[in-house]
Formats: sequence, structure tokens, C-alpha cells
Amino acid sequence: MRGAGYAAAALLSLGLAACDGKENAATENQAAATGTQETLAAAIGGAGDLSTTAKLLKDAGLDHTLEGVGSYTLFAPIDTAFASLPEGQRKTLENTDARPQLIALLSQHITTGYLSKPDLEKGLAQEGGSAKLTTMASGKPITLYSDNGTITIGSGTAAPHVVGEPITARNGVIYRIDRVIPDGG
Amino acid sequence: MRNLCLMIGAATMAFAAPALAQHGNGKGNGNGHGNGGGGPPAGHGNGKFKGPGDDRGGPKMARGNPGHSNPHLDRGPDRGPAMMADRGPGNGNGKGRGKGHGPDKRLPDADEIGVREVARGNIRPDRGDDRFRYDPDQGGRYYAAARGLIDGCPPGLAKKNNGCLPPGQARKIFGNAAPVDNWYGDWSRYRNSGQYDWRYDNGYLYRINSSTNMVSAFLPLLGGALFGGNAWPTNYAPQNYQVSPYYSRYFGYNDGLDYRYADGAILGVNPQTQTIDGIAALLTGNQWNVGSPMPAGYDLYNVPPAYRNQYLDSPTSMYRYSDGYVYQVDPKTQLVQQAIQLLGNVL
Repeated sequence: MRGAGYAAAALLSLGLAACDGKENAATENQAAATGTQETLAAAIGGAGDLSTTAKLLKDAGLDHTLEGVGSYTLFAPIDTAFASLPEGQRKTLENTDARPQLIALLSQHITTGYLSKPDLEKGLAQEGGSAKLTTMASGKPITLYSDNGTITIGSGTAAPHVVGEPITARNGVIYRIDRVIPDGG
Repeated sequence: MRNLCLMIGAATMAFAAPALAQHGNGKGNGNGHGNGGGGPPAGHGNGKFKGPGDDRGGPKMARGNPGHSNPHLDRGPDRGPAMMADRGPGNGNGKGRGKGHGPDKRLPDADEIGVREVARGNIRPDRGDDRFRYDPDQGGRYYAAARGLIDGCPPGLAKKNNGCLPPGQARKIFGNAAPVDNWYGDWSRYRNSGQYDWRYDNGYLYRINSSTNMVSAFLPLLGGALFGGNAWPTNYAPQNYQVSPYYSRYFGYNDGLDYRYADGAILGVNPQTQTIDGIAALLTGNQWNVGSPMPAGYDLYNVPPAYRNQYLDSPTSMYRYSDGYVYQVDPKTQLVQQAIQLLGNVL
């Protein structure tokens, strides 16, 4: 019975958190489980080499999404990745009229759930070096490949590489990539 | 959903009690209409987690999708071929079993996280012609109900004869020869079919009748018409786009907004002004049916850390997160065994 009391008290505290604006029980649980209160949106905003991604996410109205309870894993192009896009494409992404296109592009860089680095590496090994991840672009999957410790999205010389260490946030994980994912992953 | 803080105590106790009581329980409530193998987990604890803000939990959530010859799905000829192909057969419904539950390791502890395990209807969101609505008799999440594509003339285009003028202002998307060019996501359905072609302008995708070159329908796009600060499309009757109470709780906030689904996202909408507040969540739209194969794209373990103690892969079960649910999958057959609601907000 004492356990029940503790449990009820714990839930009460979680529930009360839900009264505090945008906090709710899930965010509290996420923070406890990951050891950080930082959201994906904040983490990207704080990464110096992801400033373009952060700006585009904000332009797309997805910064709010990445502050929420939904878990996502982002493959975030570093600034030089966007800088290397053709000028016309860069300008399109900055055009307010093209925001649906921007969201479609960014959605292909966002996968559902929380994919930690150990699970990514272990999973790729178990899957024989390649694995599909569904994206928020209508569920269209991208394919990850692992080869001698290098992870790419898609294959070929132009395939984006995962670079550096991932950033873990309360509601997801961010992997830096060195190129923008082309349509079709 | 909203203003439930006053009921927090009751909500907490209502939630805590079943969580504490469920170890060893074997009763599932009212799952006689479960959906194709809703099975044992479907019966687990349903109805007992019911909080004051959700009187549609438990049995109704697990009811599944009887028959699934849902009239809402019969959209007629306007529905794109991709949608037809996606949906396909397999919407039959088995009988849910109202009893049983999974092993104790899956049961939530009261001081951890609220969890509901539900059988799921054969329902899926998708971008394009169909949109989704929660129905307590439809397995709990959402189902194709309201269409995304709106027949008729969009705002600003005058109706004339059997179409809308002028389509000339509806550009091909940024000068591309076809809408699919340089677009990301699933735009294959918007290719020129011979009967229809597509143009984009000012936040809407326009369907052009190829023979008359006039607009015959239009689709509000996420990031275009569907964006913070814009009015919710008047052609989208709010009740047809409402997400389930579970989604509203899980992805939403206690902020007085309505949460509605359109074009692959959950949007917060001010119910008084009908102004879109913002994008609360993106959804994959993947179809998860109990008893059916797991969708492609879930090769890797992706359960959020807060739930990993309960839903850890093992030789007999694997778990995958998608769109606010965790799904249990048979590692050998890759068949979905059950769907599990994660009660993000216990209110």
C-alpha cells in the first residue's frame, strides 16, 4: 500500500506539471529518462554548425514541433551542406512562397522516434550494414548504410555522411550530416 | 481536454489506481470488436486508465474497426490512384479477444508512465486526398474521413462553366515542368495523369482539368495555407479534422487550442478565431495494423528512453515507436502484435 501511495504522489506531481503551460507528464518523463530538459529545437539552436538548419526549421514553423512531446531523430545538414546547394535551390528554400517545399524537404530529414547512437550502430550491424528509417515526408523511408564505421544516407559518392557526435535531447537525437538528403533518400 | 488542471487530483488517482491494480489482471473490457488480432494485449487494462478528461478510453479505444467498409473511405473517383493502391485489401477484421494481457514486464509502474495497450483499427493517415478523424468506434486513433482535396473553386478564383478561372495564376511549381520535380515527399500522386495536372500557388495545390485547363479542385498545403497565423480552411469542417483525444493529449498542450490533422501534421487551431496557431506534430502516416506486417522503415530500435524499461527488444518481441504509439512486433514474422498508447499527458 505504501508503494501505491508513492505512486499516486508521483503521478500527482507529474500531473501538476501538466498545469504549467507547455509541460506535461510526458516531458517530465522524457527529461528524467534522458537527463536533459533541452528540446530538439533548443539543441539545434545551440549548435554552431547547424545554424542554417535551425533557421529553416524556424521558418518552416517546425521549431514548435520540436519542442513538443513527440520523439524525433533528425539528420541535420551542417551549414556547409546548405551552402553547397545550387543558388537557385537555396533561394527557393528561403522564399516564403516555397514553404511547403521547405517543409517537405525538412520532413525528409526527420525520422520518427528516438534513435540513439548505440542503437543505430548495433542495428546497422544486425541488419547487415543497411537499414531503412521512415521519415516524416509521408512516411517515405531513407536508407542508411554502414561501411567501416562510416554511416551514409543512401549510397554513392554524393550520399550524405553522418559526421561528428550526435546531440541528445529530451525528445530526440540529432545527427549531423554533411549534405542535404536528396529526394528519395 | 482543457482546463483539466482542476481535476488533477481525480485524474491522478483514477490513473494511479488501475496502474497499481493491473499486475496480474487478466481482464480486457469490451474488446469483442477488436481488429484482426487485437488479441490479448488489447484487453489489457482497458477502461481502467480512464481519466476524467477521456471518457472514450479503454474499451472503445480497443474496439477496432468493424467491417471497415467505412463509407468515409469510399471517396469515389476523386481519390487518387496512389491512395487506392495504398489502402488495398486487408481491411477485414478479426474478432478481438477480450481477455488476457502481456507479460508483466510490459506493464507500467504507477510511478513511471501511463500506458494503454489497444487494438487498432485498420486506419491510416496519409497526405493527399483523404484526411482523418477520430471516432470512438474506430480503434481510437484516426481514420480517413474528411478529404484533403477540396472540390470546386479556391478562394479568389471565380467559378465559370465547369471549372474555375483563371488557372493562369496557378504556376507550375517554381517553373518546373512537373510538380514532382524538386519536391520532397510523396508527390508522385500529383503527376500529370492525362486527365488532371497540378499547379501550385500561394499555399495551395491546384488540380487542373487537362481538357479545359481550369481548376477543378484544390489542396491546402502544410506550410502554405496550413501555417501559423493563417485561417483554418473554411472548407475543412473542424469536426472532420479533429484528432483523437489521445493525440490531443499526447501531442497537444493544455492551451485551449483545438488539435486537428491535415496534410501530415497535427495543427493547433484557436477554436474561437479559427486561426492556426502552429504545427504541434508531424506524423509519418504509416499504417500499422495488428496482425499485418510492420511497415517498412522501422529496422532500428527507436523507442523513446522513457519507455525503454518496458519496451525493450527481446528474442520474442521487438518494439517500435511511431506517431505517438509503441508497437509490439514479432521478430520472426514481422507481424504487428499490438499497439500501445503512451499516455504522454495523464490528464
